[in-house]
Amino acid sequence: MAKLSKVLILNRGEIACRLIQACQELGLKTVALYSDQDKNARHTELADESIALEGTSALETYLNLSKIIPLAKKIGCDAVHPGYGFLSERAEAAEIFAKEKIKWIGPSANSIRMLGDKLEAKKLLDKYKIPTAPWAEVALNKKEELTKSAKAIGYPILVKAASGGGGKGMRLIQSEDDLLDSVAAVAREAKASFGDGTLLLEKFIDKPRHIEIQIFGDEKGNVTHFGDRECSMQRRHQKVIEEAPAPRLSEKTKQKMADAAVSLGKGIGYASAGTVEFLVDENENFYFLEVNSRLQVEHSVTESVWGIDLVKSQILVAEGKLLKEIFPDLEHKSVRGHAIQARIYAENPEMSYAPSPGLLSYVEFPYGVGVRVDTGIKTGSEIGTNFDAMIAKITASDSDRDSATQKLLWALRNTIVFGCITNINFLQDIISTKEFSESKVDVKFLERNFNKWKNEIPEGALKILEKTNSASTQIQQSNSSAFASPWDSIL
Amino acid sequence: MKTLIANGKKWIHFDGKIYSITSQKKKGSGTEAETTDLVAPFSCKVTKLFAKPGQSLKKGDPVVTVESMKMEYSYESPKDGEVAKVLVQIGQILQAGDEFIQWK
Repeated sequence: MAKLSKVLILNRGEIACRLIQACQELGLKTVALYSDQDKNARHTELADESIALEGTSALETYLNLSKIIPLAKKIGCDAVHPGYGFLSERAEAAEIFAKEKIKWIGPSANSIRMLGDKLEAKKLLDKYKIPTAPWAEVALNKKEELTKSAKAIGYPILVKAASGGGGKGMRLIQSEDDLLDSVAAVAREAKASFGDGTLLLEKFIDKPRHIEIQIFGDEKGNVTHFGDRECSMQRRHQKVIEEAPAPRLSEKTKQKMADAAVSLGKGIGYASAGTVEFLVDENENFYFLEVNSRLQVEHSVTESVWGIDLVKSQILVAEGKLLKEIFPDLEHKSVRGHAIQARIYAENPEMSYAPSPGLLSYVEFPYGVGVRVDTGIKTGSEIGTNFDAMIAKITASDSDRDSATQKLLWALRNTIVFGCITNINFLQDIISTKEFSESKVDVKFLERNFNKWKNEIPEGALKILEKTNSASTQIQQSNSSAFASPWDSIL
Repeated sequence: MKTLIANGKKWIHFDGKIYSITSQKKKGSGTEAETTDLVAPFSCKVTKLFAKPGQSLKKGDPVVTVESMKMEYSYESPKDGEVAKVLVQIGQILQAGDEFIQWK
């Protein structure tokens, strides 16, 4: 494989910006795609060139291969990067680009097919002796069979999209009463999000931690790992806070998990970045959850503690470089310090995390030592409802976990988003808990402790808001469009 | 500390946290008041419709399923009552505050 020169970015938002930066650092030209509402999005500004995908929904735009492939050929790009979500785990997409001699920066279609499909992945596990919880395939039209296999696994059960990930297309079923409705709902979500309605049932392990291993391989079958991440802080099965390395887990268990992940990767000749996810119970037994055959949202914490750049490394692997060329000091690499990432969502934690779209009238991100901001938004961005609600990631790195926590808190306290409700205050309260500081957190922590969380406005703040009333009204009137210049009203 | 008014809402960054109140509301915690009316709480697309005109709904009966930011949300009847009109259709894009049905 020769050196790449022009990369088409098959994504939007913060990850598109992240990918563009990596390409540009390596001297590669980038082309961004955008839906109608994303015309002025940050990723289109960063890219060297950007092209419209007419339409508003994901299916019409970032998932629309019949639009994207002719475009890719027309602009003469020699590679595409899918990021996460959208086409990233669609084997047929990887395959089509390969046929067109356009390099897919990510694992091969074959790897995606074997691992991305949870069903196929589970079949591989026996071969590599990776522990797994009881599970069954779902036949949507055979209700009796469905009920029977659910009973055999035993409630509570998780039903999830075989091609899903990131908590999308997944539901917990407590009893037989909810079985058929939940299965139908997940099938619809799966179809809408991934274009594939295949489902599977899985035994639900109570109060587990979610811990995952970052693997990375080249195209000659060499696979290594870049340690573990703790991602238990979740709402609606979606991660909110992630950190590396995983705290409160023995080195012995970490090693066993890493070995299992690498043996799976080596077994199938996995190239590029991938994540093997596990559920870990209180006794440090671990069960395979799924493989994300793509770059992960939380790759940033791994990059921080290992001192690596996973996206640039992915590009180098796509150019045919070997692991030992990309990481000449691999054998001496180890984790340094601690990194914690918070995901900022345009959602309302007071109302079951209801989406909270809006026009961002003012946005300010923190900068300072050890603080990394990944985002695709800025003042004036419109948050719509067609895409994921995550608008930014803040990563804090420091010498140890306590220091990293304090740094993240500082960063979140200096993050301002006006115009739509976000989870910024919520995140601050989460990382300020005793449980977080002791890392006594499982995947149900937020559900148990933060379901009734309230964003009470302090008296002092209320008084100031009342006082600023008249001055601000003028600004509102002087600009009948929704967007007011923030500078006029900043005290 | 920073404050801003936009779209009928007042925003403040105060002691490291963000709060908002609507212009009409004196006190609040940054969210609209809860209501027993069946309205879209945010902009979304209707994916399933259960209620029919003239139908008698029991509290808890499914009314509508919507999709927003790639997640599904289902809404149930908040009370017993008869449906006069169904105000939405499948595939329709709703704005926050749009009513799903009209009661008799």
